Amino acid sequence: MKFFDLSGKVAIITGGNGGLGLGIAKGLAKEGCAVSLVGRNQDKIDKAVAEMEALGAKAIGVQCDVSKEDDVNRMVEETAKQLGRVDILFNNAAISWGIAPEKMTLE
Amino acid sequence: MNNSKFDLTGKVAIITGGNGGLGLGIAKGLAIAGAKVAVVGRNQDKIDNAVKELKAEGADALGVSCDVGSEEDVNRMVATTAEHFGRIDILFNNAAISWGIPTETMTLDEWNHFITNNLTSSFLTCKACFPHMVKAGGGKIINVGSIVTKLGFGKLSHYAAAKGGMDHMTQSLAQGWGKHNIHVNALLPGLVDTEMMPCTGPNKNGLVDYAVSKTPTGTFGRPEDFYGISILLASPASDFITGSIIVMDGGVSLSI
Repeated sequence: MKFFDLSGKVAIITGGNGGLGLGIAKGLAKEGCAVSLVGRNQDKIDKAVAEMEALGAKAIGVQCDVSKEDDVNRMVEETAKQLGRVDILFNNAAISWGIAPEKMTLE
Repeated sequence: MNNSKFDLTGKVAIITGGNGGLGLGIAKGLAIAGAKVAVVGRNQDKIDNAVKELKAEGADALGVSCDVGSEEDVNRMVATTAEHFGRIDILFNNAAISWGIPTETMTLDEWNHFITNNLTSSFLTCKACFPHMVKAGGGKIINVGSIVTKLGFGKLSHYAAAKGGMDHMTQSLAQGWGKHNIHVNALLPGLVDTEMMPCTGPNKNGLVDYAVSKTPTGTFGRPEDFYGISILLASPASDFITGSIIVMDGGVSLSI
């Protein structure tokens, strides 16, 4: 079936070094996609890349703070340089914890 | 790295309105993924041609004539399919009729005709397939609605009411039948080049150029564009998707 074929494509997955992001990366890799796993925690990145490579996937890890323009631009350039192109972007990185609105600071 | 999550080998699908247009496109997509397909329609010539076309492409296809607005006919169609193929796993409620009528001049008979064919029909097919899906250990129901339910068309209140009913029936069926491992989703196509809405040739609908000019993808859809989404929603790849209403219109509903 060629509908789901991603051979030759390159995907960036922010927050791809764990959880749902790593699941997305595995799904894309299963269809032949090369993946760039983006995160802040280098240990988690290294483990995720090792896990992907053990599955036979082409994967790189790029450390990045996705809230910083300089960092994001460097991450995208690094991916394009190492994997040759960029076709797919999953904006998956996120932070979440509960804060009562009445106690939340502007920062 | 295989595609097993998208594999439909051994599965049996019913596609109402499967004898032409979008329905035949859906049937072809499912057949490519390995499903056996029952194409359902009223026009026997169109059924015969569709089955011939499917078989020429290597599919295991059955044609069943049926008026989906008739409970007796639907029950017979479902029983015939189950008897022929031995099971039912997938149901695409795709059959529909559509033409514009201003509400102020519409007769009650016209209104009822649309609700029967475009909404009640799906109740009947879902109900008739339910025991077969339970027996098979689960099922996939895909209600083919319309982008009309996200927009407004003054002369299509009857059609929109039926299709809107289908969207909400989808959500409640998904909630109710999840415990039976039956997943129910709605697919809302936009402009698709079919007999109902010709996008090319001498019968091209007058709205086509305007709609395409407003479509982010810059194109109208073709039945073959629906192969992928049909396989996805019919296969284990969508086992965590139920009660979803999925717009597939090239983005035109964002612009008009």
